[in-house]
Amino acid sequence: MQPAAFLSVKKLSELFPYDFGKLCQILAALAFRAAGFTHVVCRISEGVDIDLDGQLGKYAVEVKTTRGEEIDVAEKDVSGLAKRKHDGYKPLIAALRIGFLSDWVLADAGSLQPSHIRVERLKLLALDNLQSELQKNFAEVLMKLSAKIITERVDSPIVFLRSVLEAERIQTPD
Amino acid sequence: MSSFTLNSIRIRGFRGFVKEEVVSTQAPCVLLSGGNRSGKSSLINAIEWCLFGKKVAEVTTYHLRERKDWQILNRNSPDGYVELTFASDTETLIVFREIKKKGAANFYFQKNGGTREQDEAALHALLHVTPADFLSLVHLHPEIIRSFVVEQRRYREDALNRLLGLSDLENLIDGIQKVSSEQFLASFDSKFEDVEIRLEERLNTRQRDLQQATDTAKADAIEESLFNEAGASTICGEIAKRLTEFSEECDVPTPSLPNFMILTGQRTFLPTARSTLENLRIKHPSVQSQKQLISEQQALGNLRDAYVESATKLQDQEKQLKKARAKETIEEDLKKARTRLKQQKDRLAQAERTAKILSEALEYFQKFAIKGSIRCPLCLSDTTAEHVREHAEQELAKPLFRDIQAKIAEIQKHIEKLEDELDGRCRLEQAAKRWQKKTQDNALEIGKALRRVLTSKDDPVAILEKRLQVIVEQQNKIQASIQRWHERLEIVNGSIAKLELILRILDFKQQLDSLSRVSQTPAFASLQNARTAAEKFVADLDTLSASLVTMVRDERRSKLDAVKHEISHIFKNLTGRPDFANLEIDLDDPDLSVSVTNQSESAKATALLNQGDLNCAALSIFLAVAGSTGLAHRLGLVILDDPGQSLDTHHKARLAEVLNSLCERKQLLIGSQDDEFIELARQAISKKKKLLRFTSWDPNTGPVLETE
Repeated sequence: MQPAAFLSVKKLSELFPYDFGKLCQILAALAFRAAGFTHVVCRISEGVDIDLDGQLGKYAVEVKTTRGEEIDVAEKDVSGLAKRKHDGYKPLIAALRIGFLSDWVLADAGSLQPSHIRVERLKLLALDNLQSELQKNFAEVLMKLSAKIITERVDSPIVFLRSVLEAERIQTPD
Repeated sequence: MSSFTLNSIRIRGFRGFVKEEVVSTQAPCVLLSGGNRSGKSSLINAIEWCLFGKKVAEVTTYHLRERKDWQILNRNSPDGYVELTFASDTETLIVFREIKKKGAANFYFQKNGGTREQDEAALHALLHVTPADFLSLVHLHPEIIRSFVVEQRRYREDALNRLLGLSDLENLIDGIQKVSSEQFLASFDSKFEDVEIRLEERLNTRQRDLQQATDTAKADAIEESLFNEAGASTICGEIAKRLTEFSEECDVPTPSLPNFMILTGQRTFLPTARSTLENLRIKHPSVQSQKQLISEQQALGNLRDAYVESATKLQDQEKQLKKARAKETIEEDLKKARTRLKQQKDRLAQAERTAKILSEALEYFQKFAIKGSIRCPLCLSDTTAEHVREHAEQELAKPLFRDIQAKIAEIQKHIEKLEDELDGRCRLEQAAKRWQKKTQDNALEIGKALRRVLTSKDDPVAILEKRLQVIVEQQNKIQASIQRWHERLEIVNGSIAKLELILRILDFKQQLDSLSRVSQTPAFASLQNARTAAEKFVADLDTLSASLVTMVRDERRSKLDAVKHEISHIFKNLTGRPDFANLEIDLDDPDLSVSVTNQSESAKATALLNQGDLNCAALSIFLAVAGSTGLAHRLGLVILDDPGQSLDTHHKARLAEVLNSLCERKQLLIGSQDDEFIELARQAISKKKKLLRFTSWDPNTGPVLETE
């Protein structure tokens, strides 16, 4: 991750420790939109985090962030992805480890089981092209929005980001 | 292909056996009877050792704790061997294995009296049996029965695996799982974390530096849009333009400035521009003129000071000289004093002469007695010698000499004083001459400096002051011009300061960017590749381990499915339980629970069965597997070591009946210390039997065998 992007991620994680996961989810949804997905659904409250559809494919993405080496994949995550798979979405997991030498890992979640999974292990299942798109666009979206998220610092940055999602015509069912 | 049965065992020096024994086992059922330490287990184990060698003594191979530190060679024998003779319907097979304290031991097998072959794997291929299979299909070890009935899952699973011949796969899985993958990966994580922490520390420091530099630049009213290479280039251009103009104005060569379109050029541009600016400060004509005026002002000031000093000194000297000359009597007084000094000295000489005469006169009067009247040389009266002597003594006693000497001293002191005064006047005259010369020289210097000839009528100081006044007036005129020049230079200096701030910002930005390039270095890529490879290796191990676990489960399920009914059948026959006749192993249960069931109920065997029934359960599994014709191997032999342990008479009789049934398909080799069981077996088994009694055992000679 570029230094400026990393510093922004770090700052956001420090300022909004409880909302950080959701912040990343929304920023990732915006990044996917920027990558060219025409249909993006971002579920902020419940369900699989993001649905994607477009020329790049049809995916359901569960977003995870961590400060350590592992992410927690819960039973509900696996069952949620399985349902989306049934609906024709390829299940993916997007993991972001907060570290200067880290970046988004976007991996096939088809064989995922509920457990603690090493982010490094996920890299073995990475979808390289789509992952690159996410990394690049996430950094851009982040640099564009992080200053506003930080400086305007409303009670919940989610409220602000919801308006951005709306402006980008990203559905937020909840 | 028909199965091999065991016809004989030739044995020597193996465990309890010392001397050679040839034991015929050519019968469908061979019963080995004897107490503990009688040698029967040695004979049974000799079969396994001969076929598989030292592997049978490795605890890790079979998990048989009984075999820990197993001594194969008899303590009293230098070497030993076991030879097994097998026969099938059409073939014979001899297997020979030797053990020696020293030197190479021999192994071979010989089929149909042919070539002796030493490839053990070929023997195992011929018999279609592995060491692990042997324990599940051929040889029922008592420890396996004991393990099977314990409640801990781990031991039960081990026992079940051994009963089903899956121990080697389990060992492999254990080995894989023991690879400390967590530590292995953590070592990579730790290295990455170290690098990351260091980079983050630098990143934070550089970020703070950048923020400070940015704040300073903003405080100096530099537009943020200039905080980039192009912005720096624009400012460089402005500076260069001004410096060129100024150089022309000062009539100095146009400065050679580096290319400032790129950052590296801008970095060299900065010091060059600064030094050019400093050079221009002193190169302006007004500054040059001011410099000359100051120089002249200082020189004239020095001349003035020197002249004033010498003139003042001259004046002082002349005053003192005048004062000294006012005393005109010094020379006359000196002359008079010298005359007086001479007079006193003459007087003193006269007195000395008189004193000499008087002394001589006194001496004369003392020496000679003069009688009569004589003229006194002192008072010229006629008198006596006595009177003359007294007069002489009186005269000599007068203080005449002291008075004259005192006067002489006084006059000499006066003379010295007068001489000093005269010298002082001379010195004053000389000094006055010197200062006069110095003053004249200074006046000449002033003249030279002013480029005019000064006459004695000129006042050099006044002339100098006039010139100095002119200089001050000229300086005042130039000062305004210089002020304007400096103001113009200050504008450029301000631009240079701006450039410096922007370049500092760009430097910090570049340092930040360079931190991110660490992840693009070959060293980092190499570390990342190694980490990914390690992760993949561990992932592969996990996959392999999972596959093996699945394979073991499948194999276990397959084998048990093949003999499922036979297990229940044997269990029913062995226990004769009316309530729970069937025995089932739940392979889907993580605890591998063994259950007893009937048509409507199911219960855990360990919860319901007594020790004897549990033994029967283990026996049922073994006998079903060993007797199965679906699990093909070519050893038509089943070895049971103490199968009746923990069984009551009733159960033993049932076991004997089951063995009778098994004997229809397999040759049985049964060892037991239980005479009752041996007798029950003899009665129950309808095939021909051979009974070998191990009556006693001696450490030096080995077991004593009796054959019935």
